[in-house]
Amino acid sequence: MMQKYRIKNMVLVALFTALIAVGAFVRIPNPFFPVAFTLQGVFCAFAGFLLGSKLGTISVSLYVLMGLLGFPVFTLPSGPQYVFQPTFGFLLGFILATFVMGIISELKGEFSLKKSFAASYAGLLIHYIIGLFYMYIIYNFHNGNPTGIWTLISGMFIYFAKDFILFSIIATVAVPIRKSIKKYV
Amino acid sequence: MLKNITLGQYIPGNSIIHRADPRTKIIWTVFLMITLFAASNIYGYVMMIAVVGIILLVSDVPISYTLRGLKPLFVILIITAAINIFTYPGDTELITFGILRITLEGVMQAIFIAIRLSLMVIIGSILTLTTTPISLTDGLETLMAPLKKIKVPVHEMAMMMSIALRFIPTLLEETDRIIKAQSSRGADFDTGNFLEKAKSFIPVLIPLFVSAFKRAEELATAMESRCYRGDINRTRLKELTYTKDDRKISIFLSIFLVVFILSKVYM
Repeated sequence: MMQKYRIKNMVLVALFTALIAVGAFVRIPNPFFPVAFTLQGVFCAFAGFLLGSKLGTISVSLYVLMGLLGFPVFTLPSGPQYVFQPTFGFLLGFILATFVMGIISELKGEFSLKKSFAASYAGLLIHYIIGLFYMYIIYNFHNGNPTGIWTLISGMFIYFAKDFILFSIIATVAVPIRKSIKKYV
Repeated sequence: MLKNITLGQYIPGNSIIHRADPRTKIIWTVFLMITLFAASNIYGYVMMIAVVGIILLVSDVPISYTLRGLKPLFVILIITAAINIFTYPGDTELITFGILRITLEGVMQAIFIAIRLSLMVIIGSILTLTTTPISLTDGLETLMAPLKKIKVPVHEMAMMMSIALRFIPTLLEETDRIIKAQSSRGADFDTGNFLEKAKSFIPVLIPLFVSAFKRAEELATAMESRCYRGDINRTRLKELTYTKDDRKISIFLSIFLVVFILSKVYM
């Protein structure tokens, strides 16, 4: 029984890794923003909500690792060179964000709408803090063109606004989805 | 929505690069990337371009495929090059225009960075273009095997990667099918206010997650009924073996490496 439980977790983690990769390719155009929604963040968030902090984090880490090893799972050409991509920090941000979202969703008591919103916004903030910090480092120390942190923040604002809406949607739908999925876990 | 996805970049072929053992390819990919970073002068870059060119030629991969991989990088390349041209401190002035100073060193630096970025992507893509994902994970697993001694679950990680790779196309199709199925039932993804839009996500995500959990259950049962218990006493259908091709590639690239190091020391 123990053995089967382990195998099932392994397969679940792998399937969520596949879902995150799928999410990177599904683009949903929308009339409000110049940048399209991708489902990547949605699946990372649900990896945390549905698999829990431990398995969810493994799943997202595996996704990042696969991309770095050269499997074509990122939106840009994958491979070790991706660490010099200014946006790589946002992928690292997903790992910690998923962990935190998993932790918050595992807190005692019912998974309420309030908790779901708290977890989503905490995840979003962590995602952007790590992402921007990494971008700052890459621009200033690798590419060798000094860019102020405020320039980066104002440049990323449109993306943040888009993701704020996306994560608000995630928070709203997470409660009913978690409830209806719980019986399969 | 789900068109134009270049997933699974592998291009079947029978070149020496295709036939080589994945371990040889992974090791030399790593080495070539390190040498690329060590290249600092014009000789280094010329040698790197030459060696990558030769590999590309013998690998039988259509050049257009490799160039397609560079397309998404184009904007980044132009921006980095432009910034370097204008800001790199140098002595030999070419053009001065107000505060903008273009120096010979700046132009060279911009060209070097552009070459380095493109070569990195090309080297990485040669590996994935000529190796099937499954043999790539197999190669990684055997290469990382020593890490098992310090309790790194190498086999489990390779297994999870294989499963993930196997299910990416399946889940892509499934997402597409669920979206179409729900649209045909009258689900509206385009109109409505924020809350209505949010709610339209639910009928897509729930079936997707339910099917993922069901698949996990079925696959785990199937694996267990075939007595899967990790890598203990596991045998392979395709054993990895070193052949003449691997020796040829290793000799050629070792010579290149020696020449590269010598040129770095003496030039």
